[in-house]
Amino acid sequence: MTFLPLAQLFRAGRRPEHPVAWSAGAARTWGEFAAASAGVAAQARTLGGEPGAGSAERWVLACEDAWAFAAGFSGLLQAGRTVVVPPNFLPETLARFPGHRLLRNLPAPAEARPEAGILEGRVEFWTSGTTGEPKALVKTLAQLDAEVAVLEALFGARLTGGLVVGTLPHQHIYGCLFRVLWPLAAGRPLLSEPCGDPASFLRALATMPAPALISSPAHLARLPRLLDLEGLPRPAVIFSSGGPLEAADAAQWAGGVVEIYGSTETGGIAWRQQDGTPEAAFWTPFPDVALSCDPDGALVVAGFRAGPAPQRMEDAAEPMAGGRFRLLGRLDRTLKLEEKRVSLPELEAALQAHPLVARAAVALLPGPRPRLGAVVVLRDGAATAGAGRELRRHLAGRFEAVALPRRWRFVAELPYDGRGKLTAQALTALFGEARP
Amino acid sequence: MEITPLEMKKFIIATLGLEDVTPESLGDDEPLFAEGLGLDSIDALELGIALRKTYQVQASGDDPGSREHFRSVNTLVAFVNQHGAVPGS
Repeated sequence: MTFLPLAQLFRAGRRPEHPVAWSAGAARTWGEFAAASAGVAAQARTLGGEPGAGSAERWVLACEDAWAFAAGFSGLLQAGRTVVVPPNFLPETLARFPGHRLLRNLPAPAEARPEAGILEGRVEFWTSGTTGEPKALVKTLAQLDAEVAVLEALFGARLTGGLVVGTLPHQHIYGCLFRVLWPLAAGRPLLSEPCGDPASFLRALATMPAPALISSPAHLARLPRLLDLEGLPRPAVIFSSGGPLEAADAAQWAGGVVEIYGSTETGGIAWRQQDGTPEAAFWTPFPDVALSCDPDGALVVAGFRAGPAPQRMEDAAEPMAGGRFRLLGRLDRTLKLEEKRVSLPELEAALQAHPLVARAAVALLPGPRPRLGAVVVLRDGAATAGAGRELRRHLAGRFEAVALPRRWRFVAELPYDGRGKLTAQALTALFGEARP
Repeated sequence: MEITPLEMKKFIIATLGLEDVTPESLGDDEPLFAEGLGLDSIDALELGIALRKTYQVQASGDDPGSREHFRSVNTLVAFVNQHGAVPGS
């Protein structure tokens, strides 16, 4: 398989019968892909020419399956448009992009135009910000291409089986890079549907021998308790990202798990493969990033993919011998729940926007499965009965289910301490002992 | 033995720690995910693990309906009664 930078994908091209994807149980060929992509490019060129409409250059790419997403992505970049990847496809999320074009379903295929084959443009990933508002992270295609090249150089030889399957969606940077862009550049077929539930996981592993499995701690920890892995076809390589994988969970997967540490801001930063030894818990930086630490321990990342200025991560790190490092935990009020970045200030602001709510604070409740708890001061006269479900429904239009508070406390005052601070400790104390 | 919708509701609430939900407030046909009760895909995995442990029901790759089993209390009841072993009371 020839590796092609994404920018050159259509200029170089592949054999028409080359498989690009498996979708709904059938192979999709390069010929179909090029035609679908050209159809998107033609539509974007036709619709993008309105005078004075800068936002017509911006397209929200909301295709639910990875095959359509790949065709949409490449088609919009053939037309030089900005691709906006929303954090999810919920109606209220999509409504936050007024004046944008929306690509949900592929238009009719068109004849590929080899002379227009260069891909260029920008890609915006949206993620939870620390201040209470979601924020856009803009990547140039050159930055994404650089990351794909690093991944291929580090791990390409391990992807012996070809097919790339994933338990998680593709509309965040890890899923987009690993499930869609890297396979496209490397000429490996991608499985269009995600396989996060046991039945589709079994089908995905049986599609082709030795697939590469793109996954996350949430799935890798639970699937072994739902399925007997012994008898299953074995992936050639397993990737995990979004949060640290417990060593015990990694050990359940024969052949090991390659963990990727990174962020939307910086792309991939480092990797590790745990094997039970203490050294294997340390992270090895990708060859194209330079790492340092702020005085408070926060990891700082510099390099072309991180952008013009070094990026401060909100994870504390400790440098180890040989350029490697150990991660020590989060420093801010943005946290990860089942690998989804959740901003507590953003949730609190959304709660306080509800007519029932006077004040609200959200805290992480520790436990076997950490969940969020919301402490709410209702407006005068509002009844507490059913208020939790009503507020959860209110949040569900905009936040993914993982980010919704599961436990609720309705109080007369938020538990500020003597210094006027609202501590996480005071909030979690309202929920008593963690559930067993 | 067969499991009843009420028992399934109590099982779901206990498994997932839904302390703001009562069996009475959860409809037999109410969607458990997305716009209904608002459970997420990880809840589905947790529920699947608990169902496997308690009722010996198991997912299989050639059962395209397995996602459908988790749609509501009623579909889960039918799934367990058809494929599982409900311990005698």
